[in-house]
Amino acid sequence: MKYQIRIFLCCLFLLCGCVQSPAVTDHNVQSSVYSEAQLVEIGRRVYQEGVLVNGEPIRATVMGGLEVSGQQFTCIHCHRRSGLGGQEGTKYVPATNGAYLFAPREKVHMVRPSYDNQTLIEAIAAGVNPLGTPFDEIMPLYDLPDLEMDGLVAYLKELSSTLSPGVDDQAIHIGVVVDASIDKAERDAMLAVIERYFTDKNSKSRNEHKRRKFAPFYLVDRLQAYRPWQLHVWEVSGPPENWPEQLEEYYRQQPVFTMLSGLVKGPWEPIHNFCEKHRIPSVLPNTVRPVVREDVDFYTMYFSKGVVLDAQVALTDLEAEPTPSKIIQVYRQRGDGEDGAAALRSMADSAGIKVYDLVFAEDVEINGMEAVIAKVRETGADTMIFWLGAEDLASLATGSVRLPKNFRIYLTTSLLDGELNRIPSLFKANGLVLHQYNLPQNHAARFSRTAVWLKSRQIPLTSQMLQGQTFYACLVLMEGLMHVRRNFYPDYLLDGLDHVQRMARLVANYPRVSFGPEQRYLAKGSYVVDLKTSTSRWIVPDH
Amino acid sequence: MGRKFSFPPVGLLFLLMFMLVLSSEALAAGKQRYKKTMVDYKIPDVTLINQNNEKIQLVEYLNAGQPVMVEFIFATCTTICPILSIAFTNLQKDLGTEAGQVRMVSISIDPEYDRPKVMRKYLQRYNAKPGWDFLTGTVKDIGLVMKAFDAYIPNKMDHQPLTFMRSPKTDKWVRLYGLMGGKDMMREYKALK
Repeated sequence: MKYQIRIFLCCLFLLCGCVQSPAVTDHNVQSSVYSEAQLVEIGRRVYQEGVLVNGEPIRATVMGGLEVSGQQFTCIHCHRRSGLGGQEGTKYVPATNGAYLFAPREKVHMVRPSYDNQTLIEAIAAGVNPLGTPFDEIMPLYDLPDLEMDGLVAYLKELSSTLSPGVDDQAIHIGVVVDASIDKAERDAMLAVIERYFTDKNSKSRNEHKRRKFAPFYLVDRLQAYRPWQLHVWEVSGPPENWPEQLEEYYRQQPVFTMLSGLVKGPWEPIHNFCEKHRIPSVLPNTVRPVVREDVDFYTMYFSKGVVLDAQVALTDLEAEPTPSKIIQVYRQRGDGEDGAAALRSMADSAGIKVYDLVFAEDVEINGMEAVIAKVRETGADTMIFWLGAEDLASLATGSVRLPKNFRIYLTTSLLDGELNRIPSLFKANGLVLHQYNLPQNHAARFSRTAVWLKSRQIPLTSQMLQGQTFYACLVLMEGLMHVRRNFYPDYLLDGLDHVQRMARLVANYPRVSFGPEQRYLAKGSYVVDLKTSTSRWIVPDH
Repeated sequence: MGRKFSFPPVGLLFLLMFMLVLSSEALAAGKQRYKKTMVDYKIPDVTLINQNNEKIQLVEYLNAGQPVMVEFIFATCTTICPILSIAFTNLQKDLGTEAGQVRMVSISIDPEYDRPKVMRKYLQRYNAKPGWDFLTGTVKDIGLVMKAFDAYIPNKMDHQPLTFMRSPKTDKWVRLYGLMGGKDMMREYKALK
């Protein structure tokens, strides 16, 4: 009897298929002209940018009639770049990646059969799941032409469909980039924190790999997600131009799921670009030379815009002055200040501020202020910005020439490991210090968590900046990986990190950071410390 | 042989009926998208900035003799803020020429990221017409404003769907909790008059 019923149901199913098939065939006529890859790209533009093939914005209605179009309410807004959705306020957004949609949900809430092309199209257009149950009203009903609808379906099938190669059954592989030319003490200071954090984390195993075989369904996710963290130190050497090749080789040997922290001499750009290319998240590197392409790039999360933020803050501070300034900026060729100087130059032009450069070659010794004073006489400038580190500032201070007191002189602690007390006394009379970090009086309290962690693990505290930042990077990564669970998709880690605002209060070195979707630079503002009056003002530039 | 069928006690029947009435009321309440209350708020004396980097004295700004609507949002919000903003977009469209007579204010709850450039881009995305401003300020001032409207949340990711409206004729604010459709917004706006 059961057998007969099954045959009857199969026939019914086939019959339904036959009845529906002409409509489906018509629907796909236009799409068949396009290759699969082209369809996916059409779908990507609908999902991420909210545009049709002809460049027109997509149209939809939400909340029972509110009209929306284009960028106002695209799929990526709620379902995020990974397609795995999330939660915000009181709203839960389900996943829309292929692996999730094309599998039935049987055991927990929101039970439904698997989607197929037709039911997925109905879901997008009419807002109902395969059982006919309507979605929450915040899910828009999209009025998409057939081609874009097919593209979107093709894109969703591809979206987050393969797990990162940086995770296997045995471990989550995590890379740390270190430049061979970094001082051994600094390298050890950073790596001691990371190695100990990994040891601590891995020692907290509770036999997950054995328990997962017998676990009840509500524990399966957690137990199957468990893997120890495996550290891979990727040492790069030579000039930054050579690093990409070396990174590629490391990646060929062992792909990583994410990069963590890291320290190099020079720009972070080669590592940034490498991460973009291979879609590897990179969590909070120790650098003051990040890449600032906020709207375009996705994979690296920085503490701040580094020296570029300094340039923005200096300019904002100067714009508040009644008269426009003439600025001389002093920096080393191929030095860390170079990026700040370049940023300032490009922004000052549009602000109507004149900028003159005084550049010292890499191997030239700086002796006193003579060269600076000569440049002042030549240009008639009234403001100076020194993009120099501690040694160079000390060399400037060696001569007998003193600067006129009515000058505005900016310096930055980004190039002094965040330490205000490394500024030579020469600048105490009229120095204005761009300082993104905690003021000295607030430092101990903010740093105490890191200090206690280091002390309890008998790790010597040798660099507050480096160790504070590295420890925080580990905390943030832990939070991100807890969110990811067993969905080891690179984009999902970053989607998750967008939402870890609760971690903001734990940051050790910065007065304030904030996380948020599309936000890749945690600290948005900086102090300007007036050394003459011992006062400070907090500036958040219009970035 | 006992009785095959026993009639339930009358008390139990009453209880069942009572529960039925309660649940139908709950269902009816569920259909209402939002909760409306009338509240007195004391606006703090703070200076914020708008999308054009102009200073805005908030108290003065909200007492400009025209209907005011306030929402708390942030530019990179993924779920709730787009709906709140689309409600403003649609209301401005539905009001037509009357749109300029209503002061619509989005106040940032992520004040260090939402700076004028970001705010201008956001308003452009939602086709904002004159009359709709996006305000930001220092973290401290924004905190004071959120507390004044009883809308403070320490983590912006936990924010609530709130819309506030006030008629120039009264000091009472209408507090609307919940995401609203176009008709809801229009109904509440008309009720202000």
